[in-house]
Amino acid sequence: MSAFFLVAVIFAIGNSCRQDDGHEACRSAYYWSTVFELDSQQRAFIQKQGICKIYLRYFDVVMRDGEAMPNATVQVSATVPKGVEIVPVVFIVNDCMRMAQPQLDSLLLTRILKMTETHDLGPVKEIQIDCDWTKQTQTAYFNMLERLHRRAAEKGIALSVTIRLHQLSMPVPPVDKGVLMMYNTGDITKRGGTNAILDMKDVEPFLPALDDYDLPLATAYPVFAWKVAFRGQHFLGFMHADDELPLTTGDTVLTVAPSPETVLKARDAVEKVRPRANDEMILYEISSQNLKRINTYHYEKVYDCRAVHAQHDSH
Amino acid sequence: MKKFMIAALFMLSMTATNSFACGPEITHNYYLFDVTAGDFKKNRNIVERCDEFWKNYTNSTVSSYQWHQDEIMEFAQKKNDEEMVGYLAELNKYLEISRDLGDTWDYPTKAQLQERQRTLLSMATIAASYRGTRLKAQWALLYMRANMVMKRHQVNVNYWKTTGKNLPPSVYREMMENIYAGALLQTGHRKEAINMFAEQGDFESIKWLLRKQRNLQGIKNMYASDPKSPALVFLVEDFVNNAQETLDDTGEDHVIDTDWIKSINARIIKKSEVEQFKVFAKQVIAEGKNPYPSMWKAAIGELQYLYGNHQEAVKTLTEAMAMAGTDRMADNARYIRLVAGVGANEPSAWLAEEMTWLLAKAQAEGRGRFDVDNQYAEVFDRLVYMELIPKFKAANNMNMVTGCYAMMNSSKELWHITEEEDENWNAMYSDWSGFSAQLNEMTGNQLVAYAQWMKSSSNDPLETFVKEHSWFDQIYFDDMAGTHYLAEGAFEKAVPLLKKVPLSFMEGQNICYYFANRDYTIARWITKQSFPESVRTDGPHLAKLKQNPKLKFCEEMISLKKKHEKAKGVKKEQLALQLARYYYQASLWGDCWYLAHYGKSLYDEVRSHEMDFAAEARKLLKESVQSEDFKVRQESLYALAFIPKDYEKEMSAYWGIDVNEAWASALEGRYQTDMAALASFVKQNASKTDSYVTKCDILKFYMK
Repeated sequence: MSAFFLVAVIFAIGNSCRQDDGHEACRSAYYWSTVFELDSQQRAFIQKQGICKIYLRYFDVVMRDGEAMPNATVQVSATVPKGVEIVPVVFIVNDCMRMAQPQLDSLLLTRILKMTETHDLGPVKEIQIDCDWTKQTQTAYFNMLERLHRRAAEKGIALSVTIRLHQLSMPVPPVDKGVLMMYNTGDITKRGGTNAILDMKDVEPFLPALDDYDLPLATAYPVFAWKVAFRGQHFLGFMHADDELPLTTGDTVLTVAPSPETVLKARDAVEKVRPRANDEMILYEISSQNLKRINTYHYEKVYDCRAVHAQHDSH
Repeated sequence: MKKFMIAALFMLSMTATNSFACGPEITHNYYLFDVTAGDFKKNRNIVERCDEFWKNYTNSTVSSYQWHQDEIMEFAQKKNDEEMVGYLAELNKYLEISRDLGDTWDYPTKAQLQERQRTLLSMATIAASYRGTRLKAQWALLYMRANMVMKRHQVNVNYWKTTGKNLPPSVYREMMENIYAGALLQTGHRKEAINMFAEQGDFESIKWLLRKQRNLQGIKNMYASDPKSPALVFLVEDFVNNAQETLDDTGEDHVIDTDWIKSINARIIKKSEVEQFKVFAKQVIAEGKNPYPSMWKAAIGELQYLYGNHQEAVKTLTEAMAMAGTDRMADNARYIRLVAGVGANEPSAWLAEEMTWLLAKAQAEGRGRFDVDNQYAEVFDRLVYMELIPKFKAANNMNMVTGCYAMMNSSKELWHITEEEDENWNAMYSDWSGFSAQLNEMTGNQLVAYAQWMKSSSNDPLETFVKEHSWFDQIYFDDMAGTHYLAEGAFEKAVPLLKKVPLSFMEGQNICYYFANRDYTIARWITKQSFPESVRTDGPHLAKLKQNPKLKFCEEMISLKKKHEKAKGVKKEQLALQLARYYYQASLWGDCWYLAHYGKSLYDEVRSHEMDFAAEARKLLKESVQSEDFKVRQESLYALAFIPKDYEKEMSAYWGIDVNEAWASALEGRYQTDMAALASFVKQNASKTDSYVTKCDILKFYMK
């Protein structure tokens, strides 16, 4: 029984869906840590699953002393596995877009290319911007994207952005591609509600807008989990380490993770409304902890799910 | 925590003094609880202590390394101090690398990164090979710094244990210990690292590491795992200060300003958690496992004070002072007890005695009152502004209220600091000081009473303390009381006081140029008195005075008013017009505003104790406008159309976005009445109307 069964199932189904129409499917993954290092398990995963693209978070952009500045730049300690394309990703804190940023496009592109060159991560064919933009920041954000799009195109580089589900009903960013984030769909601070990472009840209301969304899309699916603590109904916080939060008797620590079935349901739902959005499926994200955790899934359940799914596909 | 908010100023003019009608909003809610000083802040002032070394080394030629790197190297080279030159060369390389490590838009090339690594490796090798004794600590620190940047944390852990900790105490060893604590953290020894940061007083690191433990449960867990943990000192101080912050930022509507609390990286601590903390703190004291019962007891005491139980707080804090803890913890309990003592109605003698102690402590810190690191001075500030002044205000003791403000504005009397008076800054008239703002709100009678009170002796110890530490100048108060009487329209009361003010005193004021160069007898509605931009108008000693214009104004007003009272017919109407001219010139909107005020701002308003001179002018003009004398009637009609009825409305409209439209709207009231009357008069007397009326553009616009 494969350790990466869930992933394999997602990818396998993804591939099978596109064999008929001749589109090449691509297996991709996000890498979101502050240190880019790949252990043997991660390298094996990449090789075994045929990952062709890694969306690597290069740095964040935050407001510092009134200026948009890079922050938490990834420390690169790994070489890129053979045959894998690195897509630099920059997360821009929405606050930065509360004012016009006329220099930001140029600063971003220059730094991304320098980092790529310094660490031999190229060639860059695509760059991605992640920003939880709102109506208030849309103008500044889109203006910046427009300029960045032009600059990147001059160098033969495509520009993509992340698209949150609620952004499907908002204007389309001026870029080449969007990555639909099929995670963080609920409110993690509410106990006993829907699964905050992925729940179809939260996803379904947004799906009708997917069909008409005027931008080529890829889709990112979650393979991560959160450990969160509650005191009664009160959200205490995330727990990255066991002693991170001061817990007392009666506090509850919950592990929130999407079930393999839900991930598959989400994949199916996208497939139904907009099959091409599954041409490229991206796993969020392949940290060593997540890969270890995937191993602990109840594989029998995953297997059953695959069986059901496969049966469904065969009709 | 002190909030220092400066409202955006939209100054029309700062012509006479640096007086701000819309000045800074300064609050005085400094944190009371501070036990992390002294023993727990031994590695503070690292930069200053390092600079002291360079100052000594260069025979006081330079005062800091940061700004004089090259000069220090030259100094060492000239001295042929090869040992130092070698060290400085490596130190400078390290500092350059450190500067490049932060996140900036620039990014190093591969070659630069490789070069950086080579440099650091070489630096570590050179540092490790040093065999001398003179710069042993510096080289050892550099070795650990290089390793830290290369992330060789385990090497640093080993080096500290075998070498670093055996070095004699010095600022360099303290820095090494700090790097060691960081290395412990990086190698998975979080608890040890936290305790070490706490012992070093590196509370920035602790604050980050314990960012999720900053509440009662965090304190409980820390205590359960290590009841002697030095980090508890940080957590308890943080808890109490957060409880204070939460209360300070809770509005009358009981809504907590969460955005502010978040922005200053504080935590909301509500009453229920405070009550539970008090129970837990008592338990800790009873168990006797923590070495600082004084701190825990003082925490209970401050929380009692914060929630209004002042008498209980004084009792608790008295007990805390006698308990085991550091010297600073005893002081901490004592000054919080003093603050609580005001509300607990402790006797005046006790308050004065404790304030004398606190002041001596503040002065002993050796820094001025504005230094935010002087906890004793900050507590003194909070004590006066947030306890004594409100208490005396509630008791309607205006003299003590004013005395307290005066004391806090008295650098020399309170802090023994002789401030060099900026010649363009009449500090004693500035609304930036609470003292001046307080005086501005006082009536002439209150100012006279205050001056008399300041000169009198008292049997009350606290009153004596305040008087002894407050600035006082008789001439200043004669001038100010006289000016306030003038502003109140009490010209007879103003005269004797203003007569005592020498012209040399007036010439020392920032508004003396106006005293000498403006004339209140000129009708403001006909002539605007302005100065060429090239002339310096603001500052002391810019003009020689032949007479006191305030005194002259008062005397003339007394005389005119008497004549007006007795006169009849046209003469009375002429006098009414003349009085209206004078009143309007002395009003906030006249050219001679300096008669009744010490500064001018767009946001000036008639104070509650002042006479509204503009309104008084309108009242007199309503009388003179009835005149059958053409000139008197004409000028009166013109003046009534000139003077806004509602200054606030017109001025705010004037500064609005759509100036023309908004202004026109604000002017509408005047258009319909006074401007209409003037227009009608002009139409009827077109051939006789004076040019100052006919050339008025607003009138022309209206008549179209």
